[in-house]
Amino acid sequence: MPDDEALDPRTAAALIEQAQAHARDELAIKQPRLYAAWGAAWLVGLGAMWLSVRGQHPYRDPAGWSVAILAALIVAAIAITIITTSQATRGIGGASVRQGVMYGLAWPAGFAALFVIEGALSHAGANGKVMGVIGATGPLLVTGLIYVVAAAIWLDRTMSGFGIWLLAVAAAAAWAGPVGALAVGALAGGGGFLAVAAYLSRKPG
Amino acid sequence: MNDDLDPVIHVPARLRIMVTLATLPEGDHLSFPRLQQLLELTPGNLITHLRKLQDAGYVGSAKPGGQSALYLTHAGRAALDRYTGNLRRLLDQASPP
Repeated sequence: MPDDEALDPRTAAALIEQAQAHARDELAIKQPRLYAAWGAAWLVGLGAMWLSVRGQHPYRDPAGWSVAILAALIVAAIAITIITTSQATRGIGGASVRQGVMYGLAWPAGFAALFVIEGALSHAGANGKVMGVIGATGPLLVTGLIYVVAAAIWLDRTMSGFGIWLLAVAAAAAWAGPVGALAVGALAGGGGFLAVAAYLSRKPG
Repeated sequence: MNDDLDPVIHVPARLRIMVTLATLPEGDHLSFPRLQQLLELTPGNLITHLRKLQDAGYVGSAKPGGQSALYLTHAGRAALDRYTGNLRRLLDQASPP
């Protein structure tokens, strides 16, 4: 492309559209990929835990192998999130980066608090059933709340709606008991992430 | 016919620089290497065009962490708005509905 010559208006208009689309595409974080990674982690991970407890009478605990699968998938989803985000935002500095860092902090802070509270509940004598319910629904509650608030930062309707959905799923799953909560979390939580991924990848823009 | 189109912007490389920087929200800046990679211009070429835009007051530069980063100034955003408005008018005149 001759970059130093003057343009006719039609070419200029086409160039604006092209440059705009290219920059937006390159600088935008690929949201469908993030939703898909987390959807797969929750669906398969919580699904594996559900498989390991559904035959337990009485209820004991999810098997170690199923917890390991969930942990491995979460580590993978975190890695995908970090790579996808830094690919898009490389070279960008300023206010939106500070916003992103503060938002990012909500995740480790929220989950650290949740795990400490789970430890405290167990320490205070909560039985396996109670721990099963809080273990399955706590992450949904934290994630849902972060999404609802983050949606306000970026004025993201999909994220807002999905955050509210996760909060409803967390509340409903808690009433399904320790076994049912895992199934509800896997299908409505993990499945919900995958549905949003599919919706966003079809939506133009 | 092109009298209304700002000559500082009305060149492919500079138009692309302006449009690319305009996609960032106000308060953000983009590093020189990333801008260069997005536009696929040689460093020398990009520097030449950036200088013209900076001389016109359309592009500002910051040096966070020593690396030079570029952003569109208020004057730059206003100039680009004016440019696209004039361009649209010219195109409407050229092809009446």
